[in-house]
Amino acid sequence: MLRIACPYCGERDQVEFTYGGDAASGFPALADADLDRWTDAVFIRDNPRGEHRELWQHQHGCRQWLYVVRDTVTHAIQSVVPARDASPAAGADGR
Amino acid sequence: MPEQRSALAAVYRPGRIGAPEGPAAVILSERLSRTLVQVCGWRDSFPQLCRGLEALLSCAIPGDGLRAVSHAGRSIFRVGPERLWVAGAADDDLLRTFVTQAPGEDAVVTEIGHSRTVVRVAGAQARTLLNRGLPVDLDHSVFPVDAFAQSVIHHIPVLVHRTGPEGEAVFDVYVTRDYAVSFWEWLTRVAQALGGQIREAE
Ligand SMILES: [Zn+2]
Repeated sequence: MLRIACPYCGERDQVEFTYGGDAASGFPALADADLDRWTDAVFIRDNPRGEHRELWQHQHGCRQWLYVVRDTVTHAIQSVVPARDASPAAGADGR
Repeated sequence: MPEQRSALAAVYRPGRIGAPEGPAAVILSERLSRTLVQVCGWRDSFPQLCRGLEALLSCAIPGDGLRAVSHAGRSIFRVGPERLWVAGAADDDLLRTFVTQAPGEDAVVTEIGHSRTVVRVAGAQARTLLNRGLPVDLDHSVFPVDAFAQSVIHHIPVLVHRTGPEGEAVFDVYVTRDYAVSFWEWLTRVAQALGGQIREAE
């Protein structure tokens, strides 16, 4: 069980959250019709050992999307910031 | 005007549950005559909207999603960064007028009272009862009067608000209307083991 410190609601149980996927992988431009690039973006994930940037939604709390940096080995969470304050090319603190 | 009909009408039976005698460890009651207004805004203009609401409601608007502000029979919850709920009595004229007045482009005001069922859980074992399903610490030291949490019980989204008076365990649980019967079944089944009483709806 993870405990995630929501910037709006405080530290809460994982059951209140929904995992929203890899936050580091971007998508090609909508006008880009290249099948390989889209297959990569939609299906191929790095599955890193260690630091992982991911999106979570506090679905049963404030309903906000959050940008979380989590260690995939220890599950330790380094930072949680509102996704709207994090840029796609963000650093470890999401900014 | 047609009367509001409780979502629990078919299953709500006042009386003892569990232990037939002795003090009731938990006291359950539906709060029927309530209204609930949602106010949503936008990031840039939300602080200004809150200042307007402070003047209208003559009290502070909560700045976080941890504590409600209760004043003059109303409770205000910040349920999201730019989203407020104002709960009050069904005959609260100020809230009724507020909903019908055009709020301008800085706010979306919606009356959502009929979308929620409010159940009051009180008594010495109220905390034990709720924590059989709620993953939030309700101890007074971290969850005092006016603390609230949006969370989940038995897979059902809830907002739990600790109301007064100070020193007593009284919680109002806001449940979406379509899950009200499922929630009530869970609540009364767990309450049976503790021994309690269902009071007439208020
Ligand atoms: Zn939250």
